[in-house]
Amino acid sequence: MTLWGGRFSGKLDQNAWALNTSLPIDQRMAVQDVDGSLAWADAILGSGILSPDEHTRIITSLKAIRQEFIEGSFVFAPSDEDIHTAVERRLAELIGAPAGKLHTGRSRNDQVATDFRLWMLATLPDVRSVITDLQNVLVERAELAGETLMPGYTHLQRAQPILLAHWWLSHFWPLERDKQRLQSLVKRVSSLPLGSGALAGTPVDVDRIALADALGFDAPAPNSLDAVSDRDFAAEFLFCASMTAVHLSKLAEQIVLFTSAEFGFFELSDAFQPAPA
Amino acid sequence: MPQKKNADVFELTRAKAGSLLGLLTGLMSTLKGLPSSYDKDLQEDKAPVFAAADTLLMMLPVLSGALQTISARPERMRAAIDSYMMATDLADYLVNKGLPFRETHALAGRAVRVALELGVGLDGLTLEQYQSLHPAFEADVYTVLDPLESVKRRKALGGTAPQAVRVQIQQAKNVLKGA
Repeated sequence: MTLWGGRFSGKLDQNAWALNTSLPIDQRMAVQDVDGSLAWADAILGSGILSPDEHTRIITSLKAIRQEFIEGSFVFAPSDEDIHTAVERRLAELIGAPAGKLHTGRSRNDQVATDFRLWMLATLPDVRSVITDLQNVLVERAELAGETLMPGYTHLQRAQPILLAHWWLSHFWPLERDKQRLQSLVKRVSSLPLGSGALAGTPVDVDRIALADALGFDAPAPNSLDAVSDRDFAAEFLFCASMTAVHLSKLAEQIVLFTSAEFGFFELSDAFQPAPA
Repeated sequence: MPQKKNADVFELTRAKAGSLLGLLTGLMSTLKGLPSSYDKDLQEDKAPVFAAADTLLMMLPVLSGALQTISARPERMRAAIDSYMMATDLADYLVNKGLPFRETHALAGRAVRVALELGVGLDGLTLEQYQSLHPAFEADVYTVLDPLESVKRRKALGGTAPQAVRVQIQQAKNVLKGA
């Protein structure tokens, strides 16, 4: 029995279930889903929907569930359709009926958009950090290169001599722009959908500004219809990632060329060279 | 083929760019045509974003390692620099003797043609041969054909001269400090 089956009497076709389920993908946002629920439980407390005792039990158990995810001990049930229903199902196992009150005034539409943005906010620094690591290597190589000369090319024809250090750094600055792009993305990710309900807003009297603050967002999204469907940040991230990959491809293409016998400018170390086929 | 050393890591880096562009195109295509507010199509938003992040988080450290350990072969790089690459410097040399750049550019081109016809480099032309192209050529013409000297002349900000590159390295370090 799923959590949302009230309207239906028949059983869902197995393949239709497989098509519909998002759990294999969205379970990566488990911790974010719990964090969103923790903040939501606080947000709706003031409206009288939860008694202080129910609120305490929900918070305590959500924290325990969060720990289960972190430790990897959380057990998914076959009926878990997505990460949200998995968490709510587990919460009901721990505290019974009051678990059903948590979702008051909320929808999976604003919930999933919130989870996704929380995940993005947590991941952007990781991506920036691995780019920084590569930038550090490029600067190191530039310093080591001293006054080593190499041919500079245009149209892949020998054009003018350049310093090897200058060439290394020519791959540094594109990555710096990539990082700036990722950084500027943060403020657009940081618009909170939670409190938008399914599409029209929430009937529960919640302080969305405080909610945004509690979850580390800049501000609540100003329009509920837009908030539940705004995926600009996802597309923007994919552009940023693609742009970075294009920069890395440019660097990689030059290394492929420069390690060929015809050029012989570089030699790969064995650790990064699979055995030849 | 046992003799081969393939740059697989770099070839795959090149290929991943194509895969990532596919993810971007896929999501944009999904978004196109949706009305405002929630539609189930939006459930397809996460897989490409996760995949793109995973790809970068895997690929970048491998590249860092590969570039940290790659050996440069300065002698091969130096050997690939021929004197024709200083043709622009030859034109600049004549500019410093007071000739207009348009004219010196053509004269440098003629010097390259003469050298190629004679089967020598620009440093293989005699002073007489240079002077037959233009009397402004003097004995110091050969110093501009040194590639390191050529590089050193490009010392404005952003150029390849050692002193400009030192500034650039410092700029790079400064932005990293801010990171």
